[in-house]
Amino acid sequence: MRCRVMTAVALAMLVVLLIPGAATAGQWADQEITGQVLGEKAQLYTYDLAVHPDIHTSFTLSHVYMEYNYHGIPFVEAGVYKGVGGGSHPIDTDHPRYYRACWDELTGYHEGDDSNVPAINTYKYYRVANQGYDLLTGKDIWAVYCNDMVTPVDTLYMWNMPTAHAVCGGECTGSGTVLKTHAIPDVNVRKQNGTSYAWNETNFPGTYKDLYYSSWTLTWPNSPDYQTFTASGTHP
Amino acid sequence: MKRSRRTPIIALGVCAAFFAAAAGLIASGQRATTAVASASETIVWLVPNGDATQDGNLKACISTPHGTNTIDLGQWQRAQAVSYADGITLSAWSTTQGASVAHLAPVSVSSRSVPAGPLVLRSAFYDQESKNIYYQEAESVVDIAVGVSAQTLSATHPLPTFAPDAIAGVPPIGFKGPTPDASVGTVEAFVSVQRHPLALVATGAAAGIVDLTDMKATPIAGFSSLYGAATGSDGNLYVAAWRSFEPSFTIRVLRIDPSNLQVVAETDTGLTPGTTDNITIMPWSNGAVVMIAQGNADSLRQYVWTVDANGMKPASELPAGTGLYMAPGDQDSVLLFGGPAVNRVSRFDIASGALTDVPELHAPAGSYVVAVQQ
Repeated sequence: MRCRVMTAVALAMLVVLLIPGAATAGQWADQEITGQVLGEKAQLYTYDLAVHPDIHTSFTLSHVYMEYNYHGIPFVEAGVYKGVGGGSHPIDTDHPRYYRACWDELTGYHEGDDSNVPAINTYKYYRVANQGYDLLTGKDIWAVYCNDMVTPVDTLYMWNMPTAHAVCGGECTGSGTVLKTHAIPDVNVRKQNGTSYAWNETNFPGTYKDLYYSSWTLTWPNSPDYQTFTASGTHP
Repeated sequence: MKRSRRTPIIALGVCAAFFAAAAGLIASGQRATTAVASASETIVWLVPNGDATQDGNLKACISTPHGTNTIDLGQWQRAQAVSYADGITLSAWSTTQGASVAHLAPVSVSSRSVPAGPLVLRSAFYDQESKNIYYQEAESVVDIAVGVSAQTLSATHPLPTFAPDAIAGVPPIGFKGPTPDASVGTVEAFVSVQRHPLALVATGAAAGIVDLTDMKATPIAGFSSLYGAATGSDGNLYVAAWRSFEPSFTIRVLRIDPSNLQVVAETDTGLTPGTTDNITIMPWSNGAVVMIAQGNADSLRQYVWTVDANGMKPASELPAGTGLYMAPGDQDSVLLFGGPAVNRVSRFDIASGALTDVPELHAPAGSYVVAVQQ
């Protein structure tokens, strides 16, 4: 994964959750980004991270995902996972780890791991943010932050990804065992037309809830600001 | 991430000022036709308001023997230009304002504002035979006639889908992107072969060619990514292709028979795609010339090959900072510029391997050359 460093930019945001705990949506409502940001960003907070001990078959994760096109690439994604990860240096971890992944049309799919791992039952966050365009390489710059909003863990130079919209969620493969997080979005969502909206039940009905699932399927309704997203799996 | 459905949402509006200044007329969305000069020695450069990565106001300058136009592109703009024998095609797009595409020919400037919706302007292509500009707009290819009526589309071609390739479309274990499925993908290049405009498409899990005359789709088996295509001097189609899920799989140059769009030869560049910044292929001698730019900004290198029916000649590895783009030069040379070369243009003589500065094509200090027509 190619990396370098940069600063911050503007927004768009969503959420998802699969929770064992009873934290309320408003619990973290004061955790908004302050200061001027340009471009596009997505940010997710997680809380009460819990991991089933039997995950090994593939991976399970909670993530924020920024994509530009309508067919899947290019994208930049960051989150927490357990199971198989590490990209070209594969690992199979019993403990949740931060990861970031990207895929663009020129350089292909890349995945990276971060040694800074999130602790269970703590509040963590990750963010993907556009930081501009690099005339030297002809690429768009995207920074990935994991639990530190000042210094990115990675800066990705993406070919043909001038902007993006966010999708957040959780998913699992293989065993169907989920990594459970309570996740909430950043406070505001910005539409592509530049208008900002508060992320709440009024503006985005049905998308901002605490839910319990024994066997769960979570589907985001269609919206001009995010894509329909379906996560499915079986709660242990 | 994995998902079962997705809905596009890239909102893009209109960027009229760009062509307004270029044409000397203009109102948003209107066609513009006006004299701009001979295409010879036309240079296009960008002037950022700040360093190379700042997204402040960006200006584009177009210099011809008849003078220089300065165009204020506004904030968050990207611009790309491609030179052809009879002019330069300019694309500009914004993260917030929209996009436009124009062709600056010796006799006219034709522009079109691009409506809202996902689009890919990077591969905007000017067909010198039909005098049409082609580009991808959402899941279709659009073509507009240059100098006729830029506001009236010649045609819209809905793209077919390509299913994931059996070999190149299989993601690695632990893959955390969307599960590959049938997709129209992105048009990475256009070419015109025997009066057939072709769109070369990659989905990340498959690659293929769409003939825009009948919309027939021909997969390129074993590949999932491609870029940089041209019809060679020998009439064959040349394209660079690789596998997006296999970082160790090296970039190949495919020679494709234009009569059936089947791959007839494959040569290995020896370069993996991981740090690729640009690929350009142009007709050359008895085949094509291939340029691949790779590396970070401070170490970006260009590699140049010639390829024909006899295979590929060893690469010329140029000094770091030579450039990011390639355009035809005079006689047996190509022009190299852009990216780390900032405002400079170099000439590379392919036969002798000589690399020389071309001061008469330099842009002002602090700017970035994006197209040269000589």
